Amino acid sequence: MNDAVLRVEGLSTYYYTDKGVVRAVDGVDLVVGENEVVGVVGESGCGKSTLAASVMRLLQPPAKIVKGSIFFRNVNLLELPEEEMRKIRGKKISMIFQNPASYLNPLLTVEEQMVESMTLHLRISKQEAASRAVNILEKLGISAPDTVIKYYPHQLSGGMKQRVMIGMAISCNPELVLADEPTTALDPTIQVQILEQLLELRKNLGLSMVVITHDLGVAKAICDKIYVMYAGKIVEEGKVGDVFNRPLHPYTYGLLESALSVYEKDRPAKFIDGAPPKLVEEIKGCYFANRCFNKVDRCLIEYPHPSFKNGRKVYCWNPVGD
Amino acid sequence: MVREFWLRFRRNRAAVFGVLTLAALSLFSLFAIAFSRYGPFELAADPFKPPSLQHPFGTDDLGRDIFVQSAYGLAITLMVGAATAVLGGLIGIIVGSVSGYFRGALANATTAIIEIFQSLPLFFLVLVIISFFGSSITNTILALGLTLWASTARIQRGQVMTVKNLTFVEMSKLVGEKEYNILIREILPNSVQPSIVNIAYTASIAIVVESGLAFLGLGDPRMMSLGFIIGNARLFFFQAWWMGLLPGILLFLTILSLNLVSDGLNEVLNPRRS
Amino acid sequence: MSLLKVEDVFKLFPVRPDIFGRAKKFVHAVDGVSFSVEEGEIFGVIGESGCGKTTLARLIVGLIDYDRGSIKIKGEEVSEVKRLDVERFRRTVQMVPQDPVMAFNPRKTIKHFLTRPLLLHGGLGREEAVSRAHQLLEEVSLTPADFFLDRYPHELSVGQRQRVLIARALSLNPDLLVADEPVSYLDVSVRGQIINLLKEVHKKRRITVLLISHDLSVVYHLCSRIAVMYLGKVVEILDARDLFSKSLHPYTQALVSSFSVGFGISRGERIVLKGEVPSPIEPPSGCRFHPRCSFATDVCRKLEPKPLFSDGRLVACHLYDRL
Repeated sequence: MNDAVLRVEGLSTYYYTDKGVVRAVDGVDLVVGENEVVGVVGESGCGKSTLAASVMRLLQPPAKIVKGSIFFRNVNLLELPEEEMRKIRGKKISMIFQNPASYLNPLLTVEEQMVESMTLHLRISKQEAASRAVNILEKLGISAPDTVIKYYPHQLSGGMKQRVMIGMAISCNPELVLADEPTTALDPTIQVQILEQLLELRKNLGLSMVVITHDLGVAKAICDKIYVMYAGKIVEEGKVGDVFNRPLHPYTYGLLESALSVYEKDRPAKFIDGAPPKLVEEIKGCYFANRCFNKVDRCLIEYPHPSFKNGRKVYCWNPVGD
Repeated sequence: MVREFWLRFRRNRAAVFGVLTLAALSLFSLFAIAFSRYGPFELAADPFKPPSLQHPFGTDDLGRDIFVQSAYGLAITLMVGAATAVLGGLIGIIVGSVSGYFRGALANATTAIIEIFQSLPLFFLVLVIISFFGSSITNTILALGLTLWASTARIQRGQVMTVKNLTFVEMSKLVGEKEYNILIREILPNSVQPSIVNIAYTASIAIVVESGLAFLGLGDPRMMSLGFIIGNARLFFFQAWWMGLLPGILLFLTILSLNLVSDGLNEVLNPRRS
Repeated sequence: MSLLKVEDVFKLFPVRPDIFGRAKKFVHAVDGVSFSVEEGEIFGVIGESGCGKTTLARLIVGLIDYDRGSIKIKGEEVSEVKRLDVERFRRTVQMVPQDPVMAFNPRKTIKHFLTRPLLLHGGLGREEAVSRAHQLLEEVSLTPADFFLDRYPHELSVGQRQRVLIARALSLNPDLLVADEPVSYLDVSVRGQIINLLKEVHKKRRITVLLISHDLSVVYHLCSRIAVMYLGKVVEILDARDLFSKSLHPYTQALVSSFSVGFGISRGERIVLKGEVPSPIEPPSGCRFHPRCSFATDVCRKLEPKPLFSDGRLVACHLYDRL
């Protein structure tokens, strides 16, 4: 337990809006082990991006962390002063975003941006940092890194920008990388390249990663363990193979069915009826109960307690296939 | 829609203060005019009488009641603001929309006209118009309206150019909606908000310019105006400090309120959505 | 009989014209595309961003004009009908747009959105138009229809909005429906509803559908035949059933392999293409795919492959000399 790189315990992040308190992240537990790639899978509005921003402490009002702790190497990040946090952010924990264009500074060249964070965090000279940057870009499959490094972001294609973003994220030898929808904005043929790249990095650098995605295929391709998130809560966790081959939670089951049924012709496509609950309302019982095909009476009364089984964990009173 | 608008507007306390003040100022001027015993140019008492119960803000160098004068002046000031806003606003929205929606010669011509009017010095232009056509209040309003529309037009033009490329406009074309219907029904309701905010600003600019003209003695000689009273008071500042006090406060409040309302509208009509 | 026949169509967009309005460079968005869609079929067009599939859709529904070539719907040239009888043209082809958020005027109700086309075309009175809108909402399963008629777009979920967009496209009883990425904005768990709705509408109305998507599974599921586009050109046309297993063009194979990442739908090694999609402003010589193709030879670099046809199938690749 103690060798975990990241341990999130009972984390709740709420948005205090005019229309009420939105419980975007609601009592989430999550563990990332050494050299482990953990996926957080869920659909739009499930709170997965808020979860990532909470770990980085990058939340803006009206969002606020109200409960829980985030242990990074046994240090609770939520208790650190902002100054200490700044030393961790970008150095020990770094982040890859879905839309690199909006995180790259349009007025600086790739080199200037990469060098800046390296000289700041690694205390190396500009020359060293620059040659290191070229090295990293080369490793990321950029064919002419000495040229590319002199470019401004607008001169790069979408795939290139994402590579540069990844390069920046790993430039300071982070211990943990959070990737929020790292390949969503990319075309399939480029997406595969980036995924291969991430797998490669993980093998070579021994990175621990959290990959946040709505794409089940991406999660399956690169994660060891996944957490399925629904309406601000984790509903199921387990090894990728287990969860994909034998989903326990009806939501995971439905999600997989919805994705896979489209690969079959001549049969109706599957879907999950209804919509996720509004997170401002007080909900009794399981949040998924209104859409669940497998619900029992108890689901409407009490939020499910976790049940454990062969290293898997599911929050459901009546799991699939029991 | 109206209800929702008010609910959001209400949250900006300063803007609500502005609206209430403008309403109070209008009522004040209406009632004061209705119940006053003298006209604004009528001699009410001896010159330079300090404030008293009978003449709460004293009398001026000719013995006219400053309270009554101010009430009339305020009415003119408010009217100039409102009329200019309506006139300039209409011209601005129409020219801006045409310039933003259509392409080719019409757009180029209107854009050029907007640019020219924006670069002309406003005060000077109004002075020229008035010295040509005489300094009546109607001429002042026309001159202001015909010069103050350009900023609104420019804003409207930019808005229309953005909105006309949105998918829902294309969707209207796809079912064969007529051009003028697309402009009026689909684009205008989604583009006019920043212009409305700007129109409120132009009203306050119009008031400042009109007061300036009157202050310099270039206003309509048959109409009492706040600027005129203040301009007159300037000459007797050490003899009769009270002459400029009330009209000054009223002018200040009017402009302040208009700017507050404009800010409030901006917050409600142009929320920055992230 | 083919309902839609696209023949050697070109559309170039000028890049930054000079002060005289002349452009030196062009984006070759659609660069000599030909295919035909049979009456009553769902025909898919797939490809990555910048391949010209959305431009193609806009050309077919007449939102923009083509530079060269011919697009015929029911035997009539689109550019001609648009000029002579634009109202009839609008009733022939309609589109379901990609973005269910921006496709709505935020200040008008669903009633306005659905009745406008009916009032413009149907010769209907206001009341008849509303009752027709009512029926349309029921057809796309938005009930109670009265409730939805009075809603503003922001009060609807993305899936519901997508249904309204389909209802509107159907309101003029078009012969051809062009659906541009109709499910790309939807979450996986609700996507199936819209897919099934499209299938249902297609079956009930016997309407011809041109489906444009980057999502291979959706196209595979819904279509009978599929055209694969790369940099403004059609590189392969094949039966949907062959998409995952029997495609011929190396690009199609790579796309299939990349798309089903994780699910292991395609057999064999995952194909990872090298490099990026080249710019459509200066497309590569010869076969446009050659810089990324692992089978490329000298011929591919110099000579553009001639498309080979057989039985409604097409492939444009030097690897094959007959089909």
